[in-house]
Parts: sequence; C-alpha cells; structure tokens
Amino acid sequence: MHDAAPRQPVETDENWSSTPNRAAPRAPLFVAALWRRAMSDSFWMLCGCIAIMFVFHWLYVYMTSLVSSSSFINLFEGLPKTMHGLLGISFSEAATPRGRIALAYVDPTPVVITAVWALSRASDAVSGPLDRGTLEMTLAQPIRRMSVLAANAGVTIFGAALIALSAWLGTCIGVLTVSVQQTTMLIPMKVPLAGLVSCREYVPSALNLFCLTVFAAGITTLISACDRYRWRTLGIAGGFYAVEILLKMLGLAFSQLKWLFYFTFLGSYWPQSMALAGRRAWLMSLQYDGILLGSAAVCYVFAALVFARRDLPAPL
Amino acid sequence: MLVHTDHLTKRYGDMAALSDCSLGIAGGVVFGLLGPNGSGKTTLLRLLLGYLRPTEGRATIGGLDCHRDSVAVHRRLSYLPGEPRLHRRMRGDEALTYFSQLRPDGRLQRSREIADRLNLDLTRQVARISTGMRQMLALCMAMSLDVPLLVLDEPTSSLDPTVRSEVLALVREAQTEGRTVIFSSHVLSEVEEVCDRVAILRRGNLVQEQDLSHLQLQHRIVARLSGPSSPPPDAIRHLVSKLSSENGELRIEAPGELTPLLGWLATLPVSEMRIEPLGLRTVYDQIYREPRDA
Repeated sequence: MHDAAPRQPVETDENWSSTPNRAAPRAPLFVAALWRRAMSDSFWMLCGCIAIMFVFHWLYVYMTSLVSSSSFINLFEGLPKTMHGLLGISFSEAATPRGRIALAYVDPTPVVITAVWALSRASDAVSGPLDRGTLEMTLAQPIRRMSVLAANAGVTIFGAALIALSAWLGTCIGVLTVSVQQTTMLIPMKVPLAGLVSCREYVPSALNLFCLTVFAAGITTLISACDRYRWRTLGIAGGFYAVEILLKMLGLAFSQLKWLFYFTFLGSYWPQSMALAGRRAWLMSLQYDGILLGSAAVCYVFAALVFARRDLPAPL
Repeated sequence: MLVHTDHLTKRYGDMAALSDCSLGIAGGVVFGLLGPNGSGKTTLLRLLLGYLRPTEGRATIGGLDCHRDSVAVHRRLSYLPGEPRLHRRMRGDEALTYFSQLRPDGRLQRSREIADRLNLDLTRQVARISTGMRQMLALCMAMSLDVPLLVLDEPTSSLDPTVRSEVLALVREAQTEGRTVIFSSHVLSEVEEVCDRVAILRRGNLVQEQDLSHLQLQHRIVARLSGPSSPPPDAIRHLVSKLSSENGELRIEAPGELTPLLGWLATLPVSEMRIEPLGLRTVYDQIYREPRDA
C-alpha cells in the first residue's frame, strides 16, 4: 500500500535540480489503473456486443437449417442480378450449407456490431476524455500520453478479439446442435450439420472480422487523436465507415465498378470467401488480414505521434 | 529558482494567449497568479504542466523542461485544474482510490483524511455532487501528495467560506512543510492572505511582480485640509511615492516608514485623516485602470 510509505522529506529546488532525475526510471507504458478503468468503462458494452454476436450467429445457423437449399435458390433467383453480386461468392457456393452459414459474417448485423464497438471505444481514446475534461487530471499524474493511448487500444483490441471469438463460437454451437433436412436416394432425412461443415472452416472468417474491427478502431483512434470533441470524431469515423461500405457494395453489385475495392478497406473483408476457400483460406487471411492489421498499425502509430505532440486545450 | 520561464510565449494564430513571459519562482514560497479571465493565467499553468507546446521561449521546473520532460516534472508536482472534471460514474472514494493508484507515490489515506477535514461525503457519485464538492474532491487528491510543487488553479472558486478558509489553511501548511505553491486566483484577499509574492497578468502579458511583504509596508494617507498645504520637506520626500491634492484633499502613497510623514502632516491644517494599507487591490486597480496600450 502506498499509504504505508513513510512521509518523504520535501524536496527543495536545490536538491531537486542537483538530482537531475532525468535518469529516473522511465514511466511504464502499462499502467494497471488505466487498463482497469478502460475495462470498467467498456464492460457492459462489450458484454452486449458479445451476447448479440453469439446469439446472432447461432440463430443464423439455426435459420439456415430451416430453409432448404432449393428454397434458398428459388428465393435468390427471384431477386435482380445485381443483388446476387452482393453475396460476394458465386450463387452455387452460396446455396450450400457451408456457404449460407458463411454469409452470416457479411450480414449487416456483425458489421454494425463491430463498427459500434470499434467506433465507440476508439473515439474514447483522446477526444473522448478531452471532451469530458477527464484527460486533464489523468495527465497531471506522472503518466506518459502513450500509456493512455495503450490502455484504450489494448482494451479495444481485446474486446474485438472477444467479439470475433463469440461470433465463431455462435457458429460452432449452431453447427454442433442443428440438423438439416437432406434427401439421400430419394429418402428425406435429418442430417447433423456437423457432418456437412466443420467449425474450423470459419476460423479465418472470424479472424477477418477481428482484423476489420481492429482497422476500424485504428482509423477512429487516429481521428480521435487529432480531434477535440468526441461527437465530431464519431461523426467523421461513422461517415467514413458508411462511405467505405457503400463503395464495397457498389463494387460487388456492378462488375465494372470492381476497382472501387481499392478505395475501401472493406476490399480486404472477404469472410464468406475464406470459409469456402479450403486450404487457400490461410493464404487469403495472410493477404487480407495483413492489409487490415498493417493499416491499423500505421493508424495507431500516427495517432501516437499526433497525440504525443499535440496541445491539450482546457476543457470547455 | 524552482520554476523558471524564459520569454515564454503561446500564440494561437494571431492571438497571443501569453507573450514573452519571463519569471522565476523560488522554492518554498506561495506564488500568486492574478488576472481576470483571459489574462493568460491558465495558459501559463498549462505550459508549466506541459499540456501546451510553447510557441517561443521555454519553461522549466527544477531544471526539467516542462514540455519535453513532462512526466518527470509531473512526478514532482500536484495539479488542481480550475474546473476539475472527474469520472462521473465513480463514487468519491473510488475517484480518490483511482487517482492514488495512478501514481506510485499516491497517498489514499492522506486524501481521505483531507476529505474528512473538508467534511466531504465520499459515498456519493461524482455525477450527483455539486461543482464545489467536485472541486473539494480534486483538492483532496492534489493536496494529499508529498511533492515539492503544488499548482492550484483557482482552488477556491466554487467553495463556501468555511471550506475556503480550510483550503487556505492547507496551502499554508504546505508552505510550512517547505513546498512551493503556485496559487492562481481572482480573489485578491485570498492572494494577500496566503501568497508571498504575486505576478499580475494582463492580456497575456506579465505586467507586474510584487513582493507582498513589501506591499504590506505601503500605505495610503488621505488627509482633508482646512487650509493651504505645503509640499513635503526635501528630507522626507523620498518617503512619498505618489502625492496628489484635489479639492482640499491630500493623497499620499508611502512605500515605507510613516512616522516622519506623520510629523510633517501634523504641521498642516488637517481636519480629518485616514491611513490605510495600500493592499493588492490598489496595485491591481492601477494596472487595470491603465490605458490599453500602456
């Protein structure tokens, strides 16, 4: 306990300057109290995101089992051709149980949930506490600015991993507990889904979802490090995310606009293709997840540089 | 000097929040910073805290650069912001615990003792307490640390008179323990009560540094005359810093000894006389009554 420490003699300017504590140990990057605070601030939100993600993926698998492949084909054939492109995989692949389960990862629900987590937590990196005024008291302590950023980034990335894990676990539980109607030699019978698809096939998809969340958190942290108001950070990051989604959808819907994938980070988000790629999935993961994580790392480095150098205005 | 600023300047575009500020603060003193809103007090403090990067000049505390070595500087100081904002969901005691854990020399028990002394209820949530109570809570954190420098930005602005005097007592105790206190305030009487030396800022410029012990020796004599007056004799002229006569009223400002002046006044046809300490108010008013470009 700090309290047990005997009262130290007060330093005067003489002994202060004569013991140039420039040689004092560098303040640690990891400050446990900051991490605990960041965890506590985001606890309920993280629980909510995890629960929604888990239940959504479980239910998605369950719903998949209720719709037969033929009904699925009939349903999609009735839709305009441009809508087929939005699947991101061929129509025949999408009709298989494995393909239909993989589509859960490109459903708006997980994309929105991860965006909500990434944007809300990462916007709280700098502009959040600056806006609330709590950063002033925190940084009046002997704490490096990087420690504040590291605590936020650490908890955000840890949360992103748990959310992606809950998505995969939801898929797994669904696969292990659900049976589908199959017709073998003209005899309709219930077959366990686990016999048709493997949980392992969705690991690269969940990893891709995690990397997408980390990238969204990275870019939002960069905006937050430059900004002063959290609402503005959320507005800019949300607008950016919306534009990126729009570019991806246009690229998917119209083959002549595929070049738009180069202008959206969602051009590296292909969880449905990864689930169907077999052994090639890990190569795809290396490529796409590498791009997302690399871009996120660049964003975090720039955010750190900006935050270390910027002025911290007085709270309004 | 413990705190030293050398031509310290902070500009935002064309607007200078602080211009060419050079001052030194010796160890063990209570140093007052005076000035109205927008005079540059908070900018100066934020530059000392390393929150702002100087446009020009340099600030050091104990020889350490306030911006470059800000973490090392923060190890040796404790800061109370003008409007302390704390985590709204925390209870008072949680806030004290949190801040004591943020630094290796945090002293939770001491901060609780100060809270007790200020009659502060630590069971209530920060979001549900008044501005004054939030200020007290932040004061408990700031005043509990064994650091050589306390930087207090308007520490009593939202406090009631009882707590205010308790806070001033804490400041005096800190000084007795040999600490240096930078005390920014609008309240002249408080500054006069606790400070040893004061700097007055106006529109971002340091316009006066004043030793308060020296100021306490200064007096103003206002004498109403029933007849003609005469100038003071040469032998005591050096004891008068300012002399004016208007409508039969003689006003004298005396920077030091009064007895010879009173002897001279006894020779004049004085019908009424008042002697008052010059005080910080007079110095402050003089500065703020001066024309804009003075």
